[in-house]
Amino acid sequence: MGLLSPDAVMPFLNVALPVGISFYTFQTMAYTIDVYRRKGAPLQSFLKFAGFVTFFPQLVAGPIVLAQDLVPQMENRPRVTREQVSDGVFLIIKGLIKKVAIADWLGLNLVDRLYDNPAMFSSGEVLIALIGYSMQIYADFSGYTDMAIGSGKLFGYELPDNFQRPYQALTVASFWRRWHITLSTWVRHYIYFPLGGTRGTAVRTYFNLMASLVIMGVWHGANWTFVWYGLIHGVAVAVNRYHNQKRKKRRAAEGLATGSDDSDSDQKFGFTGVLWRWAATFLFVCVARILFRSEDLSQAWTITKQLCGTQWTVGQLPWQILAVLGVTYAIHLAPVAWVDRIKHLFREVPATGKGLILAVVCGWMVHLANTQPVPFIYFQF
Amino acid sequence: MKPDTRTYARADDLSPGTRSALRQMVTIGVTAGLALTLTYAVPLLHPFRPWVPGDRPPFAVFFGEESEALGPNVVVGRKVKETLGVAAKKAGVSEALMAEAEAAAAEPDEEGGPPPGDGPLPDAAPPSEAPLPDEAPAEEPGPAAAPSPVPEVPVPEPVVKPVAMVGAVDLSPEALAKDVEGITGEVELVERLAPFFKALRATAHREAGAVTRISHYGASEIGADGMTSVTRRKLQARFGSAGKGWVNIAPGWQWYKHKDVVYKTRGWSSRTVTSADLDGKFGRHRYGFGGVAGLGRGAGAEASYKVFADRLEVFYLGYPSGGNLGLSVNGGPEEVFSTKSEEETDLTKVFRGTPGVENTFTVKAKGGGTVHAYGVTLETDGPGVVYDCIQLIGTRGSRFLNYDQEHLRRQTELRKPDLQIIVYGGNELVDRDMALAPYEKKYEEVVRRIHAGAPGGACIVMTPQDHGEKDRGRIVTVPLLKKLIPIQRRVAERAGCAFFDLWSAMGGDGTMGRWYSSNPRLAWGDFTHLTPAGDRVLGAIVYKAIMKGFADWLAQNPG
Repeated sequence: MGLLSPDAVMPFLNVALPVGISFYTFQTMAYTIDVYRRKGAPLQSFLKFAGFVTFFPQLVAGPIVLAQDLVPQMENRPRVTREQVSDGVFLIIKGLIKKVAIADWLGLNLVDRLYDNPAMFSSGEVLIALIGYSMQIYADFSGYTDMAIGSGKLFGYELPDNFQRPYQALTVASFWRRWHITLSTWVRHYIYFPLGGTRGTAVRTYFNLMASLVIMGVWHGANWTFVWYGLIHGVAVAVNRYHNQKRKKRRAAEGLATGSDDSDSDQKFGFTGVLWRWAATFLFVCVARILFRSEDLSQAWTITKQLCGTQWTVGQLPWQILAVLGVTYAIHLAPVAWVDRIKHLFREVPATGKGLILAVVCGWMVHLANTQPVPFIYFQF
Repeated sequence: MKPDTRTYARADDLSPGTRSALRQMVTIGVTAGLALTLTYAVPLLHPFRPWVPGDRPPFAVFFGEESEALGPNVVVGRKVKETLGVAAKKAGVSEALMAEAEAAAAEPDEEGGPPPGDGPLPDAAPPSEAPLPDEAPAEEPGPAAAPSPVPEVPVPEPVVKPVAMVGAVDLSPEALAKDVEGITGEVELVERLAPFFKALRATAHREAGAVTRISHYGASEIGADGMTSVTRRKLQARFGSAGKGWVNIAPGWQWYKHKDVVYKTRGWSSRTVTSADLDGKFGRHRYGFGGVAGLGRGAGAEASYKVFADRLEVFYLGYPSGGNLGLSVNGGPEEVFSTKSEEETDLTKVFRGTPGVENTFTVKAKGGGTVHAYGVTLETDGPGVVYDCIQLIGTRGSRFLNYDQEHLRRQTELRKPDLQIIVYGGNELVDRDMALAPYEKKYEEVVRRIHAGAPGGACIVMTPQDHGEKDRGRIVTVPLLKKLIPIQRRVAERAGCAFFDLWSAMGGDGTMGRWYSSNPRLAWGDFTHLTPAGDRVLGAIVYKAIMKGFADWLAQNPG
């Protein structure tokens, strides 16, 4: 019953850990397992191995790179294209804006305030803060990833994408195919499949799913909040799979193509169907993040109670916060092709123009770092 | 890995495509570098300089104060757990004070523990004879009262558990030394607090009826009864409670709150000294002791107070067309009286509940004209301490000049505070180019007017808490605040008050930055207001400063 208690504390060693430990632990585990499985030859040079493990652009915050993807690039001669340079600068600019202008700004002006004193907020404001946190964490993490991939490109390296518009997902399973893709892939290859994947009974498959999601949750930290976070996501993915399997059987009985497991891509839901599936998935992801951001179950419980209140006013939130949230989500939900179009336009800009754009963005970021926080409405006069 | 079968080339074998890409990269870098150099050459562009001496490494400013602490799997926004010593060092406070903050963080704000010092009073007086209702006058229009812009304020119920005071208070040097452990600042001109210390000593000796009253005036820094509730509870735990003090009839602001009273109100039209909009025929610029007048036209306006106190005194305006007020205790029969008076004058009326238990008092406007009601005091007969939180959100000190001066004096006289703590200056900081000489003159006048009604009591001019602003990614103290401190010290000297430099006691320059990044977080992200954990620390700082002055005074004035 301790697990259910808001005061439950997970015993763990409170020791300082080196930066990036989880990323290079996963990378070296994958390397060792692949060598053991004879899926790859061991590297003959310790320097090459060290170069793979400590490749600086993605060392701190990923993406998780497998040896078979990175080592051949390291062994290749220095090679970089104009497109890589242009795209690299574009991604660094994009990452900087995401990190400083969106993630840090939302954290300072909205999310931290909620978690510092949830009792002062109405249910509506708590919900908006949770939506804001979802954008903050996405902009922060994907901003780092953009800068890592962009830095890699400047050296001629291609690193895997880690995000594919996760908040466009129509199911929780699809969300995990779009969020922290390299971690999801790692867990699928090195935990889910070894556990048996879908090869056993239905019960065993659901167990494998749940176990994988719980392990993904615990990867974030030794805290019961992450166990519960993984668990509820595991339940959601299991429910998603159950419905998917039912749909497949029905379609097979009707003699129709069953399609793939990717319920975002192979089904035609119609506007209403897409809308409610998107809304349900998005709200689930946002609300589940109560556990993700809370320092313990007690804080998570306090925020959950506040969310379940009856006051739905948002009078305390300054218009700037609502505007930033609206704009950032509008961009996030826009078609990927639009961003690709901008990236291609950026390629056409002369090098001096790119340099100027980079300088302007850097100056803007410095200015933003000095911008005073938005005050609360109720403290204004 | 697949066996590598490719041939390798030396670095000077770069392909034409790679050479072209490198040229592009160099051009981009040089152009960006030159453009950023302009930010040093052109004064207009100075705010955009990526680095100046004293900064952290170039561009590190983009990643905020906390990024250093964030490992890859440390979740965005979550704070890293620290030991008490590390957390205290990071926040720049003593471990004793940080322990207070951690205690606050461990418990939900609204269930912040039982208000201590409540207890049955063995010598409490029986309820007074019920006042007879005056004859209700015919309905007549009062001054125009706009609908209240303030919605009903739902206030979660505090946990109210009586803790009886047994015997006299321990005033031994050892006990007093324990009170001031971890003290960070002392009250200056402390000898001026002698009248207050005398009252406190009488309370400590459990003399019959020895109630020590403290009134703490401030803006949003004490909004929602944050740090004031901490100091109140500490003093009442030490000296016993004689009730919960002043509470407005109409809240005035959405977040008006008294943490030790379940206060519900609706239907009143709030007129605040901040907006200075009481300028009708009657009650002109009379905002009451709490700075908020509640106008109840006709019937329907009411306020209720559930509290561990048995004596309610309602403060109101008597005037020729005053309406009727009704009061009931614990749902019993309502006693109605008229606020009509031949002359415009400030009046009070006392009602009694049941001694030794929690009582619910309900005050209602009952028609017959417009009622101008200011607030109530909720007390027992003592002995004990009462601590008022006079929170005027968004108010500058100069707003007190909006008061009818004689009315403010009279209200204070009726309240009889033994100590007035006056803290204004935070809201003045937005006026970066404020002329300091007129400010000093005006603030002295404000302090004198606030203290005018309690000439036999003491007063402390206390500086505002730290206010931070961002400067190249760091959080520094707003420069104007440091200029206000010596001014406020001089004001205190001239106005006959003691002085407490709260800003220095918190840690001085850059405190908000340290308090914002500490765990538990002590300051909010506006670098102006404190979290409940920060309120715990600040309330403890004030408590320790008061107790240090009291201990020193007792050493010189034994008895």
